[in-house]
Amino acid sequence: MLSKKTLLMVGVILVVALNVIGLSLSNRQPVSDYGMGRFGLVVIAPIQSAVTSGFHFFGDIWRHYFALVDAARQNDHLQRELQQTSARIDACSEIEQANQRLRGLIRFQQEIEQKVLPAEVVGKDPSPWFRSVIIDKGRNDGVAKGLPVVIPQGIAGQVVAVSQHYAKVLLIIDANNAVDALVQRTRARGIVTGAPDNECIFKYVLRQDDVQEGDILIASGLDGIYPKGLRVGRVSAVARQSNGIFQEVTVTPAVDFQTLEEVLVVIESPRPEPEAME
Amino acid sequence: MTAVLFLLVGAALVVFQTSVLPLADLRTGCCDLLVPLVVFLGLQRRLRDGLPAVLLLAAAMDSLSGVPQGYYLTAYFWIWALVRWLIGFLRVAGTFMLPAALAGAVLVENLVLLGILLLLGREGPEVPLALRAIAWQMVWTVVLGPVMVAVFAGLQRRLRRYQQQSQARRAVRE
Repeated sequence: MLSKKTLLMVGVILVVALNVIGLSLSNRQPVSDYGMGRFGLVVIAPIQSAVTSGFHFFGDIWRHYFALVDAARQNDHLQRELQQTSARIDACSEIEQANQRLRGLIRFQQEIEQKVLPAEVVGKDPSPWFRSVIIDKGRNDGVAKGLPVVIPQGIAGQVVAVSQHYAKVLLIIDANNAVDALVQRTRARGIVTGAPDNECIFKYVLRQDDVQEGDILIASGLDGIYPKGLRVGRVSAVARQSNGIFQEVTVTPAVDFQTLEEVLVVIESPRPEPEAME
Repeated sequence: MTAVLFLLVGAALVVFQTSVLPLADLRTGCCDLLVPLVVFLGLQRRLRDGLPAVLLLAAAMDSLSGVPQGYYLTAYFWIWALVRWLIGFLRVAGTFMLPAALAGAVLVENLVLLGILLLLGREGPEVPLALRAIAWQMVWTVVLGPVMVAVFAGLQRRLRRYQQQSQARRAVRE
């Protein structure tokens, strides 16, 4: 009889041989559409599909939801950056405008003969009936009552009250202010005072004086306050009544008082003209 | 303490209406925001709290404006005094009486101005323009005033509660 050991060896050799033959035969014949070949497709594939879909589903959730938390965070961050950039652009634009205004003031400062002091408007008149502004320069900076306040476009007003660091400027559109002025073209003289609706009136202009719409008014310098030659405004309407010795002249100021932000205080007041002293 | 609070509130209103409000460039103009405060001080505060605050705020307004000196002192004093006189026999804090009192205060403010301009012999604004401006001032005051008075009353209540609580705490500590 064969020993157990011999039988085991024969068994192993048979299994190996059957395996080799089986492999060789199965690779030579096409895979059947039925039987075990189809088992995988029928049973496993749907599970594979379900598992894959599940993975895709959770993957999508991860990508589109959990990852969106990151996207939302990023969005918040970008929006903040955008807001900061917009604010910076606004600030830059504001600085650019201020720069242009200040350049204008500096050019004007160089052109004007008198010594001037730049100041910023920090407050406007709370009363609707009066026109004044508060500037951030006062007695300590050399500002005194009565000094004229100008900008490159023309005359703004005069200082009427001063504290250590601030001053109150009565604008030329206030009815209590007066500027001795001339029509630049014809030298017709009169007094410009404030009127309602941010306008001025050119008073005491003789009827026979030649004043036309569009004429430019300049300071005569005869009032001893405003430097001669500075622009006051432009004639916007002329009315000659049938009686009376004066004509009614409405003037649009050269200065836009709604947007007045920086001004120059003329520290050295102009000397009165010799003819005025006489 | 209350007088200081309302002085601070008044100062904030003065700054707001001289520095911030002009930026809004309202076509109709706005009302004097201190008028509701003056009315409130007349209605709710005693003489020793109300009057000094009214006078100090009026002095601040006088110094910041191009008005004839003493205008706000006169106007606010008379508004305050009239409100105090009115509460002697009228319930001014009522629903309709408060807007009426505020509108009346605007009228008093403008009448005082007219009086001062006449007194000084100065030219006033043209009548149609003045009437339109006063009407708008009244509208703004009647709209904003009651809200502002309610806010002032709320502030006063909070301050009173805070004072009571701190008094109680001090009493417990002692």
